[in-house]
Amino acid sequence: MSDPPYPAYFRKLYQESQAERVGLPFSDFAQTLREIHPSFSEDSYRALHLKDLALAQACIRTIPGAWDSFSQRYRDGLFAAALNISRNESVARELADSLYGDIFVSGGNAQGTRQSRLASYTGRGGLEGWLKAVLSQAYIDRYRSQRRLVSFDERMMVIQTTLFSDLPAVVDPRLGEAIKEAFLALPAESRFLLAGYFFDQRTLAELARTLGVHESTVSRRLDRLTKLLRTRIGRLLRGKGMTIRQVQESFRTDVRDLSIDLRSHFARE
Amino acid sequence: MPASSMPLPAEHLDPETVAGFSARTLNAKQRSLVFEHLAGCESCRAWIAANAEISEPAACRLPLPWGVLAAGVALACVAGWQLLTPSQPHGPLATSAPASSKLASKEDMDEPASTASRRTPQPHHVSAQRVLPGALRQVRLAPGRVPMPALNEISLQTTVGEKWIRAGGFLEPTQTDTRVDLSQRLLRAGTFRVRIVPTQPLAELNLRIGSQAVDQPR
Repeated sequence: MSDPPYPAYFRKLYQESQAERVGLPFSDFAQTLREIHPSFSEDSYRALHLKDLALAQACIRTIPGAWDSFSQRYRDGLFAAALNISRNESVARELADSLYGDIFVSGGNAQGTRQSRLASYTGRGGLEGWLKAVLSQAYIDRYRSQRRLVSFDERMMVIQTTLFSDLPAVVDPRLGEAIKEAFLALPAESRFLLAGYFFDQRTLAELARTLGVHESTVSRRLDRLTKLLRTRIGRLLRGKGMTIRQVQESFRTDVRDLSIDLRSHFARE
Repeated sequence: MPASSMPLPAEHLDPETVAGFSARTLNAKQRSLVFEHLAGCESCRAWIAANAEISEPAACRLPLPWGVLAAGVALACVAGWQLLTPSQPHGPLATSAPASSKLASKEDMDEPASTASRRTPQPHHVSAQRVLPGALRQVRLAPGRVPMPALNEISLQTTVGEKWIRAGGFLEPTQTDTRVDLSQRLLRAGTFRVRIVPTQPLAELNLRIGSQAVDQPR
């Protein structure tokens, strides 16, 4: 059966991707592009990380030499990243090996065997970044599963009930409504920041790294946001018929306590 | 359709999106969609945070002229700071450090101070125990006569739970003092600790609880 007609520039893309060097035939390369990104224009295809995509596809097809290239290029870096994230050599080794296990699978779906995780790599970003993201996901999964063993949620609940045991049992429902309304009106990035800081107890440094800004910027933003929230909640409460005194009373429930209300409102898990 | 404007998955984020977010290669619309998801998804927030530990931005976000300008300003600041700051003797920093150690609790001071830990500023822990419930409204942290050498993180911890409960933020070098409002939950805790994470050893630090100065653990 002859190959379906591919645009002429696919040949050029094939050359540029150096797919031939890792042993990936043109037909496989072109088919991959078509399958993964059926509606792309030439420019869009060019924006992909074609070299990485070609290597990934060659590895999936267990083309001789492809895995050697892959290992040469990424194995050490992956272990270093695993060590950096886990700060423990045995955990790092386990993480990196487990990732390799997910990726290095001989055969494909056709033989009824497991498919390599590399099959989900589409070339939108670099392969190294993708591998690190998969690695960090594996780390988080592992961390979560271990935390579950010591009942993280239960511990949190104990802390909450210990600290809030003498809070009034009944809080004015208008406060909850106002909090929800004010929180939802914030831009997504602001909600992310508040959630990361108050719900997840992330440090300013962690949030700063995540956002790629300085820690003091995060601090200032959080400060601004909590003030903004207070102002808006106050305004909303007044609009719901509260007196200034009642609003002030409501604010004795500190903004940090928002996590309790908001978690139940917004957490997806 | 350019790669950068591809739709994002409706459910959890995928590795390429997470990698793109950390590398800052997503466009504004995509980034906004990611934030929208992250605001409500604890799992992906944890993932993004973990990935940020091992990822580096793809490229400097500042265009070159601004990058050069910023670097120049930073160098000028460093040079200026060195010129204006009296030179300190070389050697273990511990000799010039903790005047603030008088504020540190015994348990913190009992920790062995290795040479490495002397070079790396350690968090200062201050314990103030048996605070009457309701008596604690505000902690005021003042650097004393000398300005803080650098940005310092301040957080408060109740000893009721294991987690840090933050009620603070940052004390910037130019600030002469800062105030940390305590939440209701801290008011209810009989014991609390203040943790200050200096980026450089502190020369002097005054801690006040309400209007009362705290010189040593109570």
